[in-house]
Amino acid sequence: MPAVRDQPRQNKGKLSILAAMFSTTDEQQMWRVQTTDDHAAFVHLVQRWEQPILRLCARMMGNLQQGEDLKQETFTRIFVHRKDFRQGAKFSTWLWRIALNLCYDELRKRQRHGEFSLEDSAGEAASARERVCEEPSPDARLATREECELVRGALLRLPEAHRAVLVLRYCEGLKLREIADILEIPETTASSRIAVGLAQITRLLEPQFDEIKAKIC
Amino acid sequence: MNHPTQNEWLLYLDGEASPEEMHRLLEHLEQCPMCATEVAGWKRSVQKLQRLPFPASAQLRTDRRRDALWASTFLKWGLAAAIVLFVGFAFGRFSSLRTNALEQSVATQVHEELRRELSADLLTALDPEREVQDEFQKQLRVKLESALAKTAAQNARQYRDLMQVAQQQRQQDQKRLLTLIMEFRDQQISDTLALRRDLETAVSTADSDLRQDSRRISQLADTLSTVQK
Repeated sequence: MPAVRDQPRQNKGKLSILAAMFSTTDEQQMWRVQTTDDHAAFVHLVQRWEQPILRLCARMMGNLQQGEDLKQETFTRIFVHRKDFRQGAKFSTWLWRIALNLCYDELRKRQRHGEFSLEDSAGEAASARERVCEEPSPDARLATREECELVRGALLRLPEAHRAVLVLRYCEGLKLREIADILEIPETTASSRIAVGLAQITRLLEPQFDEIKAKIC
Repeated sequence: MNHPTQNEWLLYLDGEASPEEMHRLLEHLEQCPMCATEVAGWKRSVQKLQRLPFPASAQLRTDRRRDALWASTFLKWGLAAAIVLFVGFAFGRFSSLRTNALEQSVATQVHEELRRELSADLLTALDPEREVQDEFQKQLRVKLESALAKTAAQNARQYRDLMQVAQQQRQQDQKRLLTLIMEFRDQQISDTLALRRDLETAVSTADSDLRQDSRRISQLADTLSTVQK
């Protein structure tokens, strides 16, 4: 029986391998966009990558709306600078890099205009906690939501470089090699940045989690 | 005590350290409470980051709640409007039941008269309209016929022009062909004449050579007979 039950799964596996053999890679799609301005290929790329890019931008900015704007800006820039994509380069690396650079630019702009500063954001976690507490809900659920707000707040308090590596490594699940390629830094530097970022965020989070635990108990 | 580096702890957390390395790090964790506390904190942070939901969720919840609020407001207004309409309709029906028979008969008479007058008016109004329609159709037909005639004339003219051009072209082609044939014939005649001339020259040359040879042969024969004698 198990063999019979496994049959469709095996077929599905074979089919997916076949599909993968005949499907076009991101680089091939980008080549089409580059050479023939193939709009269908560009739409395919956008559909494939819009969610990861939106997640990265929203997490870097701590704001969904700005994430959405930056996502659109990223794809616009990709299309405008399509001729700059080097043959042999990896499309995803190029895309992540552009998105990340746009996030950096936007964050710097915000700092210049005084909209946001890392020092001022010290009280963000507390205010987030207050906002969450306004909504009546079960304790456990509230605690989870509060934890998420705290992690988001802590991420926003990290320097951009450390925030970026943590988001890419642990939220988006990218490999160390890929992160190093995106940031155009050696792998050891990327690893050090992750370690420093992790140490910083742990220092920020640990006392606050202790508070929450004490409150629940 | 030698503490492992941050990068080594990262490999341990990601499960990418070699088995020997993993063993060494685990041993160190058992012996060093400071590293154990720090690494445990890192592990918790990594887990929190990996489980961190997309920031959209909170926003979407708010949006959905806002949508629900809008929907309920619209529903309330819709319900209120339906109640008002129902009350109005019921009131109308109820009041119509109270009309007496006299009112009904008067209404019927007035209705009949009105209908008659209106139908007469409509008939008179329709007649001129029919005339207008006929007139319009006539004008339309005339215009269509004139447009068709104009188009036909234009087509005929264009056809004539086209035929003229084709004929001219054909004549030019014929002339060109005739010229070519004449040139070819002249060339052929001149070639034939040249050939004849050459042949005649060759024949005369051969003839004189033959005569000269026969003369020599007779001389030779004379010489031989003299020698024999």
